[in-house]
Amino acid sequence: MVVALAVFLPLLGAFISVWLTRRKPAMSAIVSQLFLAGGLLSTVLLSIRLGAWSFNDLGNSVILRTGVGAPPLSINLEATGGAVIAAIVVYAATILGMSRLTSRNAKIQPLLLSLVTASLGLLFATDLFNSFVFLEIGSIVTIGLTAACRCRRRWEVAVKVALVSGLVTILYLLAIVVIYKSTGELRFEALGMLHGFPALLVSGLMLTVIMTEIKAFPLSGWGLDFYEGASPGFAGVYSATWSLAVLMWSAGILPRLPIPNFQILAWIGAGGLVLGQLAGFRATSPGRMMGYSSAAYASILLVLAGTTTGHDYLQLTLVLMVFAAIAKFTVFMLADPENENPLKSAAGYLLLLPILVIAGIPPLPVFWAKFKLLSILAGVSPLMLVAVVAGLFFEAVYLLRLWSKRPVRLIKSGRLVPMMTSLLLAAGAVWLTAGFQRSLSFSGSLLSSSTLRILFMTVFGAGTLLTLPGAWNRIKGERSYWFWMLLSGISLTFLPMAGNGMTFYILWEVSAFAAVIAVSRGSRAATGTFWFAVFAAASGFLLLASIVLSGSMFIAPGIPLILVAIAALFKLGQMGAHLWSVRAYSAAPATMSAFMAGTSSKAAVFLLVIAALGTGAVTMPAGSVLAWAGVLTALSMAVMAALSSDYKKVLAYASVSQMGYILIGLGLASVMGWTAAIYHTFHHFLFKMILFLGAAGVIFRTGTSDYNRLGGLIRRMPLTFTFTLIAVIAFAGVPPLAGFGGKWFLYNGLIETGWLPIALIAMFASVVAFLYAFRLLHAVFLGQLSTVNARVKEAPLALLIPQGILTAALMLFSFRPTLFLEHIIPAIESLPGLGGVAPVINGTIVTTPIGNWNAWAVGMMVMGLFGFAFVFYWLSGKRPKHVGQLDIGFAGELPPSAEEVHYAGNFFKPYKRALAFLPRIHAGNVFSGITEVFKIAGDSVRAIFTGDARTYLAHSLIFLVIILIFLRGGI
Amino acid sequence: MIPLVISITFSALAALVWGLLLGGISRMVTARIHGRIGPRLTQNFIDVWKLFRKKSSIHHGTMFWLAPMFRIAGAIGVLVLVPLVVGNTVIVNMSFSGDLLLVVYFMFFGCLGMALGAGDSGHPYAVIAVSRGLAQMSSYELSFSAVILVLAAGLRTLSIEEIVMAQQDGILSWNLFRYPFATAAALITLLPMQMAYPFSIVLAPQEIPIGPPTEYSSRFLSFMLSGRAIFGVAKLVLFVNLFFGGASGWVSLLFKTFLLYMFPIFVSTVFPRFRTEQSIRFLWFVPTSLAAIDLLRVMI
Amino acid sequence: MYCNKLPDKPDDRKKIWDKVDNMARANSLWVTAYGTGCGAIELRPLHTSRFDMERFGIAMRPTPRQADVLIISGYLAVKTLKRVIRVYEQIQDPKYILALGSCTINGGMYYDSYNTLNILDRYLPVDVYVNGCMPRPEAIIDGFSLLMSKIKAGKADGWKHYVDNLEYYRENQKKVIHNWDLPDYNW
Repeated sequence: MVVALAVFLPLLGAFISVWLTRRKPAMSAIVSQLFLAGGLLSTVLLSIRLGAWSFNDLGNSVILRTGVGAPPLSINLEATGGAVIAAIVVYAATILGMSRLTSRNAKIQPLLLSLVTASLGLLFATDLFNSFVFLEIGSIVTIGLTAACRCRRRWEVAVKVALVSGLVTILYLLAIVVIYKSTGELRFEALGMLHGFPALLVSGLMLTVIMTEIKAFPLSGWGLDFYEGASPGFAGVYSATWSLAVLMWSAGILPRLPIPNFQILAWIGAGGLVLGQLAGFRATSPGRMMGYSSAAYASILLVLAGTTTGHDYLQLTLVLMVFAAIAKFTVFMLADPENENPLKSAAGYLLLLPILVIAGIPPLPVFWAKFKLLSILAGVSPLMLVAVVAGLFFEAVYLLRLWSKRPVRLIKSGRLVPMMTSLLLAAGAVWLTAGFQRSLSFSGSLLSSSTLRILFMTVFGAGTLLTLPGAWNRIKGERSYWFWMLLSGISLTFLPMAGNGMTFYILWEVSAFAAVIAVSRGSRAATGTFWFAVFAAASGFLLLASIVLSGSMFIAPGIPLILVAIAALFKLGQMGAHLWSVRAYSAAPATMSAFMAGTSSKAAVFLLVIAALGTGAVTMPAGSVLAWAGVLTALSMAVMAALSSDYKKVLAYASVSQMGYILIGLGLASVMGWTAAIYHTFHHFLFKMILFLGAAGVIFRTGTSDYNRLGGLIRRMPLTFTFTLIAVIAFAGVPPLAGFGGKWFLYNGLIETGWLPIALIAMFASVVAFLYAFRLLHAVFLGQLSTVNARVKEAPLALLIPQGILTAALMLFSFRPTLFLEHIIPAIESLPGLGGVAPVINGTIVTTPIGNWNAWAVGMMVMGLFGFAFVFYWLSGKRPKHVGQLDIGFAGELPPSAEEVHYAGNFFKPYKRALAFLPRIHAGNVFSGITEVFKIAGDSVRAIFTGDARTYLAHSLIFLVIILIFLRGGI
Repeated sequence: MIPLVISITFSALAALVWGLLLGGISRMVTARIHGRIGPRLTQNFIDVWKLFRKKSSIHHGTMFWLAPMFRIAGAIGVLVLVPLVVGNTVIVNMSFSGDLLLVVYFMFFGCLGMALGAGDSGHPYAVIAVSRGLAQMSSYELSFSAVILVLAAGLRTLSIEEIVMAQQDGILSWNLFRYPFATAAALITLLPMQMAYPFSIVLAPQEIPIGPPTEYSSRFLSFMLSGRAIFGVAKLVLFVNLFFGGASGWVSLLFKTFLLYMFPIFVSTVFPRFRTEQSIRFLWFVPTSLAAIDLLRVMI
Repeated sequence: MYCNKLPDKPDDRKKIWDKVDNMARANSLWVTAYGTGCGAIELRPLHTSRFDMERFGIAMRPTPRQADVLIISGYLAVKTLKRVIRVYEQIQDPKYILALGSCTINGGMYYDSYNTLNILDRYLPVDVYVNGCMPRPEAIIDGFSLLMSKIKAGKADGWKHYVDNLEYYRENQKKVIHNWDLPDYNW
C-alpha cells in the first residue's frame, strides 16, 4: 500500500493540478506540494520498514502488484532499499525545486508531478515493458518541461531531446521484441535467459540504449547540449530526479546483460572517463560543465558495473549516484535564471561544497565510495586505475576552475534551497564517515620513531596555534578564514598519528582543501586559488593512486613510491611546480601564507619520510635524483627571489628554495643527511613563520607588499624589525644562529657520501640566499621612510607575540642546539636502513668524522665580543648625535624626497645583466605548454560534439554497430 | 675563562697592530710603485687615532651604530676561530670550537653587519655599493666553496688544525703543491675578499662615495677601519693555514702573512676596476674552472 | 627629516693627551674632495708623484662626513656658497677651512662681481689663507704646513668660532643668498 502511495500519489496530484491551475492557480501550488509531501512521507515510511538506512541489506524489498494477471499486462513494482533512498532524493529535489520552477509558469506543475511518478516507476520497475512505459512518460515530460521555460535555446534543446528519445525508443522496442520472441517473458530476469545470437543482439541494443540515456561518453553529446541550454532550475531538478532514476535503473539492468566478459563495460567506462573529461577542459558555461560531470558519473557507473558485483555494487552505486545528484542539484539551484552566465553571481561555500562532493574530496560522502572503487580497480588492472584516476583529475580541474574564478556576489533570493541541500550533503558526510570509521586508524604506526612523530605534531600544532591569533587582522577585501586555517591545522596535527593509508589520505586532503578555501578568502585571489587547488588535487590524486596500488602496506616500492615522490615534489613546489606556491602565497591572506609556509610544506616532508621507511628499509627512489632536484630548485628559486620585488613573493620563493635543502638531506639516505633534513625542517618552521608573520604585520599596517612602496620601517616597527633580523640571520646560515647547523650537517653528509658537485651548488645557493635576505631587510625596514608610511604603528600584538615566542625558541636552539639534537639523533639512528656515521654529541660539542661544532662556545664568544664593544662605546666619549633622516651627504644638496632616495627596485641589475647569457626558461611557459597540449587533445575529442542532433543520432547508431561487431568477435 | 679572555685580547690587539702596519706598508709600496714617496709606515695608526678622537659624531639609527660592532665582532671572531701558531699551547683561542665551514660562514657575520649599517644610513649610494658587493661576493664564494670542498674531501677533514697538521711534512706537503689549482683559485678569490683592484667595485671611491661607509664618521669609522685591519689579518692567517703550511712560530706567521698580503697589493696597483657584471662573470668561470680541476682529481 | 638644533657645545677643557691628539690631527688631514672653484685644478697635481701630498698624511675623501678640511679653492660664487654651507656643517668637529686664492681674501679679480663673495671670513671661518691667483701646488703645501703647525699649537679653532657666532655668520649668509631654502641647521 505504501508503495502504491509513494508511486502514484504524484500522478493523482498531476491530474488534479491540471484542473486546479486553470481555476485556482494560487491554490494549485500548495496542493501540489501537499501531494508531494504525502508521497515523500510514504517513501520515508517505506524506507524505515525496509531498513535501508543502515546500508547493510540493500536488497530487501517490498513487492506491489497492480492490475490483474502478470506483467506486462499489469505493473509490478519492487521497492528495494537502495531504490527507496533514491526515491526520497527524487521527492526532496522536486519539493525544493518546485517553487522556483512554477513561480513563472504554474501550468507546468502537472508535468513535474508526472516526472516524479515516472522516476519512481522507473526506480521500482521489475519488467522491461513497464520500464518502457515509465521511460516514455519521462522522456515526453522532459521534452515538455524543456520547452516550457523562457530560455533562448529551449526549442533547439527540446528537439534534440525528442530526437534522441525517439531513437532510444526504437532501439529499446527492438530489444523487447527480440527478448519476447526468444524467451516469452519480459521480466528483468529474462535477460539472463538469452543465448546465442539473440543475446548478442539484445546486449548491443540495450547497451546503446543505456549509454544514450545515461549520457555516457561518447554518446553524451545531447546531454551536454541539454544541460547547457535548459533553464538551470529545470536542469537541477532533472539531474536529481529523472537522471538519477535512469542511472539507478541502468544500474539494475547492466549486471543482467548477457555479455560474455563484463570487463568490456569497465574499459568503455574508463576510456570514456578519460576522453570525456579531457574534452571538458575548455568548457566555460556552468551548465555544460555539469553536463561533462554527468557524463563522468555515467562512465563511473559503467566501470562499477564492469568490476564489482553484489553488495559492494549496490552500495557503491547508491552512494555515488545519490550524492552526486544532490550536489548537481545544488549547483544548478545557485544559478540566476536572468543572467546569461548563470553562475556569475553564485556564492562561496554554497558552490564549493557540491563541487568538492562531485570531485570526491574526503570526508565528503562520494569519497568513501570512490576510495572503495579505486581499491577494487587496483586489483583488477593498474592501467584501468590510471585511466580512471586521470579522468577524475581532469574533472576536478575544470570544476575547480568553475569555483575559483567566479566573483563573490550572492544573489538575494534563492539561498534557502541550496543551503538545505548543502546541509543534506554535510549530513550525508557525517553519516557515512560514522559508518566507515572502523576502517580509520590513528595508531601512528606509519612512523616507528615516536620522537619524530612528536616533533612533527609539535610543528604542525604550534604552527596552527601561533598563526591563529593573527587571522583576525584582516586587510580590506579579505574575508574571514580563521575556521579553515584551524581545520587545516587540526587535520595536519593528527597526520602523524595516522595508522593506515586511508586515514593518511583523508587527513592530507582535508588539510589541503581547507587551505585552498582559506587562500581563496584573500582579496583578488582567483588565479592563485586555482593553481593551488589544481596542484593540491594533483598531488592528492597521485597519493590516492599510490595508496590504492600498494594494497595492504602503506607505500609499496616501485611505481607507488615513485608516484608518492612526485606527489611530494608537487606539494613542495620543486622543479617547476613552484608556480602554485608563489601564486598561492601572494594571493592568500598574509597570516595564511605564514601557516602554509610553516606547516603544510612540512607535511610533504613527512610524507617522504614515511614513504621511504614504508618497506622497512630506506628506499629512496634514486636518492641522487631527489638531491639534484632539490639543489637545482634551491639555486634557481634563490635567484628568482633575489630578482623579485614583492615581499610575499620573495618569501614564497625562499620557502621553496629552503625545501630544496631538505630534499637533498632526505635524498642522501644517511643518518647525517636525515639529521640535516629534520633539523632544517624544524628550524625552517621557526624562522619562516617569523618572517611571514612579520610580513603580515607590515602588510597589515601599510597596506602594500611592494618593495618600492616600503622602506625605513625600522623607525616605526622596531620590534618587527628585530624579529625579522634574527630570522634572516638564522636562515642565511650565519653562525651563531640556528640555520648554520642545518647547512653544516648537510655539507658533512654530502662530503661523507662524496656528492661534491651537489655540495658545491648547495653552497653557492646558500650564498645567493644572502642576496635576497639583505634586499628584504633593506627595502622594507632600512633606507628612507616615505611620507606615506610616516605614521604607521607597530604590528598588532596578535602578530607580535607569536613572533616573540618563535624568536625566543630560535635563540634557545641557536645557542644550545644539543638540546634538540640529543633527542633527534638517536631517533634517526633508530630508523632502519640509514647508512653512514651518526654525529656524536659531547656536552655542547657536536662531532662528525670530519668536523666539529661548538655552538655554545661560538655564541658566548659573540655575546662577549658584543658586550666588549658596547662597553667600549660607552667609554669612548661624547654620545653621537642622531641626525635627521634626509641629512645625508648628498653633494651639498637637499635630497628631494624620501621616496626618491630609497633604493629598493632593480636591486641586482648587474646580476641580471651577468646572467643574460642564459636562455630564458620560464616555468610558467612550460606549464602553459603542457596545458595547451591537454586542451588541444581535448579539442580534438570535443570535435565529435557538433551541436547538430543528427550527429548525436549517428553516434548512437555507430556505437551500436561497433559494439555488435565487438561482441560478435568474442572478447 | 680568564686566560681565554687574555689570549683573545692579545690576539686582537696584535692583529690590529699588524693589520694597520701592513696597511701602512701597502700604502708605501703602492706609492713607490707610482714613483712617489708615500706616507709614513704608521700612517694608518694616526688615521685611526685621529678619527677616534674627533669631537663629534653622528648616527642615523640603531642599526647604524650597531654595525661597527657587528664588524668588529665578526673580525675578531674569525681571528679567534683560526689557529694562529701551530702547536702553540698558550694562545689557543677558540680554534677547537669550530671547523672550516664555521669560519667561512662566520665571515659573513661582519659583512652582514656592515651591509645593514649601510642600509640604515639612508644614503642610496651606500646601498648600491652593498648590492654590488653582495653580487660579487656570491660569485667568488662559488669558487671558494669549490676550494673548501677540495680540501675537505681530499684531506678527509674540515678542522683547520688538522689541515695544518697535514702540511707539516716539509715544504712540498703544503697544499700549495698538493692542490696547486685549488690554491690558484683561492688566491684569485683573495682579491675580491680584500677588495683589491680589479674587484674593488664595492668601495669604488671615484664612483660612489666610498661605498658602505659613506655616512660613517669619526669613531664609527675608526672602528670600521680597525675592523677591516683585523679582518684582513684574520683572512691572511686563514689562508696561510689552509695553503701555506700554517705558521710554526710567530716570526714565521708574520713573514708569511706579509708575503701573502703583498700579492693583492701588487695586483691592485696595476689593474683598473672591473664593472660588476664583468667581475661576476670572471669570478664564476675562471677560478671555478681552476678549482674544478682539483675537485675532479679529488673525486676520482 | 632635517636637523633642528645646534650641535652641542664642544668640550673645551685642556687634557694631557691633547698634544697627541693634535699631532694625530695634523698628520692625518683628510680633505673633502670638493672643487669649489678655479683653484681646484691646482689641487690635482698634489696627488701626483711630483708633489705627493700623501707623504704628509693628506688624503682626499669623497664625503664630508669623513673629512676634516674643506678647501675653498678660489672665488666662491653665491650659488656655491649655499652648497658649501651644507657641506661644511656636515663635516664632523674639529674641522678646518683652507682658503686659496686672492678672491677669498678681498675679492681678487672678481671684486666687483654680482655673483661672488669678497671677504670669505664673513661667511665661513677660515683658518689659513693661501694667496696667489692661483697658488701653485708648492704654495698650497706651504699653506698646509701652516695649517698643521696651527693645529699642533692648538690654535685652529675656526669651528668653535662658527658655532659660537652662528647668528653672525647666518645673517651674512642670508644677506647674499636670497633663495634660502636650506634648513636653519645642517649638522
